[in-house]
This record gives sequence, structure tokens and C-alpha cells, in this order.
Amino acid sequence: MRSLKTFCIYALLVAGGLISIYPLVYMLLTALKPMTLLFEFPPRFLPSEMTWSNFREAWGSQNFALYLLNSLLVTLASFALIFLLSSMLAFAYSRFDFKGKSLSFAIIMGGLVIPSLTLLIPQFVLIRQLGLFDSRWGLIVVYAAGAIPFTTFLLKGFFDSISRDIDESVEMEGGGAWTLFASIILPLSKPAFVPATIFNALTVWEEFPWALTIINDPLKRTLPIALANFQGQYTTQWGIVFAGSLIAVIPIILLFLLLQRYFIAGITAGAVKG
Amino acid sequence: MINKWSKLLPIILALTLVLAGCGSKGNQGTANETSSGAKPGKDVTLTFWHHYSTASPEEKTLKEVLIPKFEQENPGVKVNPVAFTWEDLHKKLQISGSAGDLPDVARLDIIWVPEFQKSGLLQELDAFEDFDEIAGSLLEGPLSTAKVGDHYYGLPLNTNTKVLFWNKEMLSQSGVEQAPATAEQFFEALGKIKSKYAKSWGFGEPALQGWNVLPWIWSNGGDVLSPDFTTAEGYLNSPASVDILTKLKDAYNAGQISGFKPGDVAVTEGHASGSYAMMAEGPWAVAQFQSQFPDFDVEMASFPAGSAGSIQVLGGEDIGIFSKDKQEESWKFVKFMVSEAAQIEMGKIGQIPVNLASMENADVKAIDYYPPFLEQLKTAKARPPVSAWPQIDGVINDAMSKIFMTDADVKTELDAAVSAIDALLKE
Repeated sequence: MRSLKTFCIYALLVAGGLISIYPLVYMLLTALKPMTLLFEFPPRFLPSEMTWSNFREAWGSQNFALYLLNSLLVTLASFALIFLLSSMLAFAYSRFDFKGKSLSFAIIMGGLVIPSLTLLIPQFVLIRQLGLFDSRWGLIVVYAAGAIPFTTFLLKGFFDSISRDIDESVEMEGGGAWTLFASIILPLSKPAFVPATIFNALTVWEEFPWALTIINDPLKRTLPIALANFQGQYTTQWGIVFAGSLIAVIPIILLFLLLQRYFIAGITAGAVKG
Repeated sequence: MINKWSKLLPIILALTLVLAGCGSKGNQGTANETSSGAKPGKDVTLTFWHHYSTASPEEKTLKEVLIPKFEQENPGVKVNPVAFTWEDLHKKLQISGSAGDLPDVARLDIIWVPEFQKSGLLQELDAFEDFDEIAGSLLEGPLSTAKVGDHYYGLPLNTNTKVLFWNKEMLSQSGVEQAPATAEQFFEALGKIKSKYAKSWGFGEPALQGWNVLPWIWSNGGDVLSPDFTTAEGYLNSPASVDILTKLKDAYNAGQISGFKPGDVAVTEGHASGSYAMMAEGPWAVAQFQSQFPDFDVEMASFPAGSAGSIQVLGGEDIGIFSKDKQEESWKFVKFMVSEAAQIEMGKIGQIPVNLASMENADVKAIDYYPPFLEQLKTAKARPPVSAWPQIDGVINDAMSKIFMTDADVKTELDAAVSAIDALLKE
């Protein structure tokens, strides 16, 4: 009886795993097919002939390595801003009482329900006035601003669950708010940063419309723009598109593998108030 | 744990600062470039936005052959090419136009010229002294696509149209020995192909925009707008338009036409691998067959003629100047791009030249797939040169999607499209 149950659970998990991994495997196999076999009819799952030429082509055309570096820089810098501001915001809302607290928190949370595309024009005007047009900073501040509401929400939930008795002990020992924040709350909240990292990494890494809008200089482009350029007006070499997309997705997969053991602990962070 | 965090945060912050350095350096760079544009004796850098394909030899030829040649011939002028996709280039030009941050020169789809002229972004080229001389060296039809009102706002860069591609083996196996010359023969052939090849389609059409459906309507004697471009009433919903669209819809419902639905086999690749016996495509398809399907036997013929003849759509690109302060240098670059030498280089990789002299070049003449296109170009028709065309095209696309993919009535949908288009024309 028990083994039947285990079997069912495993069967479901394996099925779920296969469904999740199928698109990636399909991408890989497509990228490995020579152009002539891409549209074979009837379609074949496993290529009868394999080639790395799509990867060479994707890596060699345009400035792919530079775009990868740009994407990394923009993502890392956005993260620095997001975590710096969100963690302090979340700490303030979690630990202090001040005038207008619930109203200002509601306004920040309101940012979650505005679709980012509707903000394109006002952001564009603002970024131009700030002189950040056609610069990577224009990407970083906007990505960070977009991610702050959700990250603050996530972190505040976790901070709230940390017992206030700790606050008192810190106070008794003569520590101030900064000590409490930097030496106690932040280290204890490590699991909450993991889901925040993964969710934000996906949105920042893949962002396309804003990067297309404000970056003119080809040397400052990010990966999604380069990937889009592999699609021609009339014809698209899908093998190269898939090879390029695979290269682009590697850092995200690495990040996930690195962080996954913390992921489950973190996703329930803030679900229940302690 | 405490140590880890306190170590990690400063590292990230330091990275941010490093980046700040990069960012501001980049800004200074562009500021210098623009200010040096006015100073004599220093290099002038022209920004050239284009949609030459990154995944084909086009962009390589531009960057590695044409631009170095131009820079060598014009010391002191540098060209910075920026590649976009066709769709993104249109959006970028619209956005940058409203922000006043345009490139100096851009390659433009011929259907964009009226739109950017109307928004006052394109410079008049006939103001340049030697304009008439240059214009006289170019093909007349493509040149007319750069004219709005009494002035020219660009020069043609390359031209194209579509012809009928047919799979000889599939057709002869189905009992059709020749490419269908008329629409009647075409629909007859579709039926024969379907009964021989149940899993294939007789004809593939990759989309339902004006570019795709107008040739059918035109060839059947219909049109989209009146000759003075003021209304669609009585043209897009004329009996001739309804008639041909009904026939196409019936063929689609009978499983004889496909290709525009999401998830369909891609048309050009599908044609080479036996999914679509026929398709209407441009010269780029031949280039694609040569590189990806070298064994495929490419056969081309004129587009099936209707009661009004075999009328395909005129495609191609113009080159226009946006720059206000580097006009002389920009004009030099435009002249270079339409010159015989540059047109020959692009002609060799499938961009049909518009320069009369380059058409006589031996290398260009040796391209055996150009003749059917040059023949089809004689009767090719341009899409209406109205500034609202991109929106009108959207209306057409929506109407056609409803006509083909739902059981909506053809005439009703066309009537609805006509009133939407007339409203756009009045704006």
C-alpha cells in the first residue's frame, strides 16, 4: 500500500519533470540540427545529424560576448540597488512606526498592479530628463524601481516573522537599529533573498521593450536585443535563434542550480506571520 | 553567516560603482561625438540605422565591404551602423522621432516613407544640387516610392516583389505539368494536389497582411483604396475583392492553403521540404534555398493572373536622411549607397539593385534567379502611399484573420474593415 503511494508520487513527479524539461531539450536539439533538417517532414525529435555550427554562428555574429557582459553588468547592478533599497524599506516597515506608514506602504504595493508597458512613455520622458538616455544606467534604475515593490513585500513578510524578542536583546546589549538590521535581521533572512533573486533575475535578464526603447548604441545592447536581431524580416534561421537563446539562458540555469536548495525554504517566507 | 553577508554586500556595491564609471564614460563619448560634428577638421560620425539581416550576408557586406569603402573614399566621415529587426526599426524610429533623437541616415521600408514625411522627420532630398543627376541614374518605379507630394524624401535602395514558386515534382505527380498561369488553373491545381498529397497543402501563405492578400485582390480587379486614396468604400469591399477572398477561404477550408496560423509549418522551409507545393515569395527565398536546401530544385513562374492580370506587390527599401546638422555628409553616404559599386555588392547577395548601371554588371546579370522577378516587377503595384498605411495594414490583417479563421461572412467583415479604414484616412 505504502509502496503504491510512493510509486504514484514518483510517477507524478517524473511526469512533471519531463514536461518542464521538454522545452529545453527541444531547444537544445533544434540548436544542434543543421539548417536543412530543421523543417523535416514528418518532424523528427532526435536529429539524424548533429552540428555545433549554430552555436559558433550565434556566438560569432554580432558582439555576443559583449552583450552577455552588458546583461551581466546591468543585472548585477540592478540587484545591488534592489536589495539595498528593498531590504532597508522592508526593515523600516517591519520594525518602525511612523506617520503615514500604511498609506505609503499601500502606495508602494500599488506599484505591483501597474503593467510595466503602460509606464513606457512616462519613464522614457523621465529618463531623458535625467540624462540617462542611451546609457546602461537608464536600464538599471528602471529595472530596480520595477522590482522594489515585490521585493519589499517579500522581505517585509520574512522580517515580520523574526521574533521581536531579538530586537529587545539587541537593545539590551546596546545595539542600535543599524546593528539589528545589518547583523541580525539580514543574516537571518537569507532564505528570503533566494526567491527574490530568482524572480528578479528572470525579469531583469529577459527584459526587452525597455532596453530596445532607450538603448541606441550597439555597444550598450543587452542580450534580448541581440537575440531579436537573429530574426530576419522574411526569413529566420531558427537554429541560430535557439542556439543564442540557450547561451543566454545558461546563467539563469546556473543561478537556479546554485540557489535551489534554499529555494523551497524561501518561497514560504512571509506566507505565515510568526 | 554574519561575515558572509557583510562581505558580499560591499562587493556588489563596488561592482555598481565600477559600472557607474562605465556608464558615465559612455555618455561623455556620445556627447563628444555630437559636438565634434560641427567642428571642421575633425571626424564626423554618421549613425545609420538599418534592418539588413544579421543572420545573412547582408549585414556583413554592409560592415565589411561597403562602409570601409565609403570611409576610404570620404576621409573624415565615419559611419556607425546599427542593426534592428524590420519591426523594431519602425518602432524605434517612431519613438526616437518623438524624442528628437534620430539617426542621421536610415534604411526605410518603402511603406514607411509617407508616415515619417508626415511627421516632418525626413529631409527633402531634391534640395541637394546634384539630386536630379543621381535620381536619373535610378529605376523609375522604385524612385517614385520616395516621393510624397512634390518632393523626394528618400532614394530607392533596393527593390523586390514576389513570384510563384512551384514544386515541379509535386505538381507533375498531381497531374499538373506547368505552373498555373491563371487563378482558375491555380485553384484547379490546389484540388489536384490535395487529392494526391493528403498531408500537404497546395499553397502556403505566411501571413495575412496587405503584403500577402493584396496581390490576389489586385489581380482579380479589386483594390484596397480608391485611386485618389481617399476611401476604401467600393474597393476593398467590391464584388471583385469578395469574389477572390471567398475562393481563397474555400480553398483554406478544404485544407488546400495554410501557413498563416500560429504553429503552422514555416512556409519557405515547408516549400523546400514538400509541405507546400506552391508559395509566393521574394528573392530572399532563393538565397535561403541555396544556403539551407542546396538540393532543392527551385522553380519560379509569374504569379497566377486574374481578370486584371498578374499583379504582385512592390516591395523594397528606400534610404532617407533625418539629420539636420550633418546633411552634407549624410547626402554623401546616401549617394554612395545608391552608387553603381555599392548596388553591385548588395545585388550579388540578393538585394535587387535599383541603379540602372549596376543592372548591366556581369556579376549581377549572372544571377539566374533575377529574371522572373524583373519580369514580375514590370506589373508590380505599390501599396497606397498614405501615412496611415501601417494602421490600415493592421485593420486588413484583423479582417483577414476573421475571414479565414472564423466562419465570419466575407462581405460583412470587409464592410467593417472599410469603415475602420475610412475613419483612419480622415484623421
